[in-house]
Amino acid sequence: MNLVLVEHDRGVLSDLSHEALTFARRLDGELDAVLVGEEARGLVDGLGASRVHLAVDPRLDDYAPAAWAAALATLVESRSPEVVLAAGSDRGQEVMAHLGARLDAPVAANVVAAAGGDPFVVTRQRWGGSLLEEARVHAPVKLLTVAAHALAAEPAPASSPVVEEFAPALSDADLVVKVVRRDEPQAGKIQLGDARVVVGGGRGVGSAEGFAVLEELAGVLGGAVGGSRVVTNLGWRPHADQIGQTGARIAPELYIACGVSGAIQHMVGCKGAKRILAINKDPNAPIVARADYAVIGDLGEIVPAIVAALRSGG
Amino acid sequence: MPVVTGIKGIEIADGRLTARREAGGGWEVFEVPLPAVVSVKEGINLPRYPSLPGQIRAKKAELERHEPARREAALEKVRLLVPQEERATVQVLGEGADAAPRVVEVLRELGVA
Repeated sequence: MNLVLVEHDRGVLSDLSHEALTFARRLDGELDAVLVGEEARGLVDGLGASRVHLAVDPRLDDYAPAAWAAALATLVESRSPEVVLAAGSDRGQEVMAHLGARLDAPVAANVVAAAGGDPFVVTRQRWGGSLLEEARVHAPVKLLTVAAHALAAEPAPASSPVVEEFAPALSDADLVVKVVRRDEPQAGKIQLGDARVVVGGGRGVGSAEGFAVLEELAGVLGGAVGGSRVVTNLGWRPHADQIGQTGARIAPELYIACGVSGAIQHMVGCKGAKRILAINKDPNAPIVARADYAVIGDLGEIVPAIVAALRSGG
Repeated sequence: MPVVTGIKGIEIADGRLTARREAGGGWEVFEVPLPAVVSVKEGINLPRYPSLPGQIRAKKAELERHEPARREAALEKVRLLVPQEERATVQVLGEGADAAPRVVEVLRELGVA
């Protein structure tokens, strides 16, 4: 049996969990899902799992990484799964790291393929996906996280799962790190991670003021504006707008990269984009080679011309 | 010891640490007692690079050496591979502002304009 941690935030399923479930359905063996907290009860039917384990405890009313790992550890103990998987999200990686420490077992992070066997062989992303590693997992229970956006999530097959509630073995120490409050995103602002169009700017934008034309283009297209690490480090954009390995991962229909050179760390953040349009004065910039479309020239002239053409309907 | 990973904001007051982490366009906040372990993400601050006098002083600093207690890797690397590039070849739509009408055509084809 294989166990998938299904990530949610106060009862809202995370998109990456669908990818982890899709990955898990392709493995040999039965699929059991795990949900942590009473708020997740409404999610049990949509997972395509034959059995759903629901961790119930009044203290599990918000995300607490060590407590989530304790819940998984309780199931590993009682159910002896072969593989335990989580999404390759911040939370998934964090919970699996805690679980690995508890079980004294290795975690194979950012896995893109699992060949199985004994020893258990996986292929996983390293260095933000710029290299792949084939590795053997030597442990009685294999702990994996599924690389984000490495496979397309498939809809879950209809299932009427058996729901089994359980009380995880929690200590007070497991609840010390817990979300105590949130600063919610600005209402009405389109989030980078959800936008259908992202307009990104790099050093070539020239200044914080240079982003005005990018804002305008994003406004016309109903998209969001982001930036490379250079522009957030220079203070031209807030850090929350950074696209890349250590910033936001985007997956829009179209990413319009303006004056972005295309460093590997940036490309990791935008590889989920279906199409890339590069606007750059340097035809040899790495971003141009990785783009689907390119316009060569000064973005300060090109972007306003595109905005004008869109507005005039031409 | 409490662990908070991937944070982009940190405040320490009265023996407690408040950590902010990006989540869904907003922030989630953790409060933990000290001592605690945190891992920070790029963007938490602007790095200060060591000054030249600082570098000279550092050269004279005494080095403490520790031998890590190693054990056999339970996650064993077999080989590294370079992933296959899936991207099609780039289509250059034009140069300068004159390319704008062609760009708009493409935006319409893609259904985003």
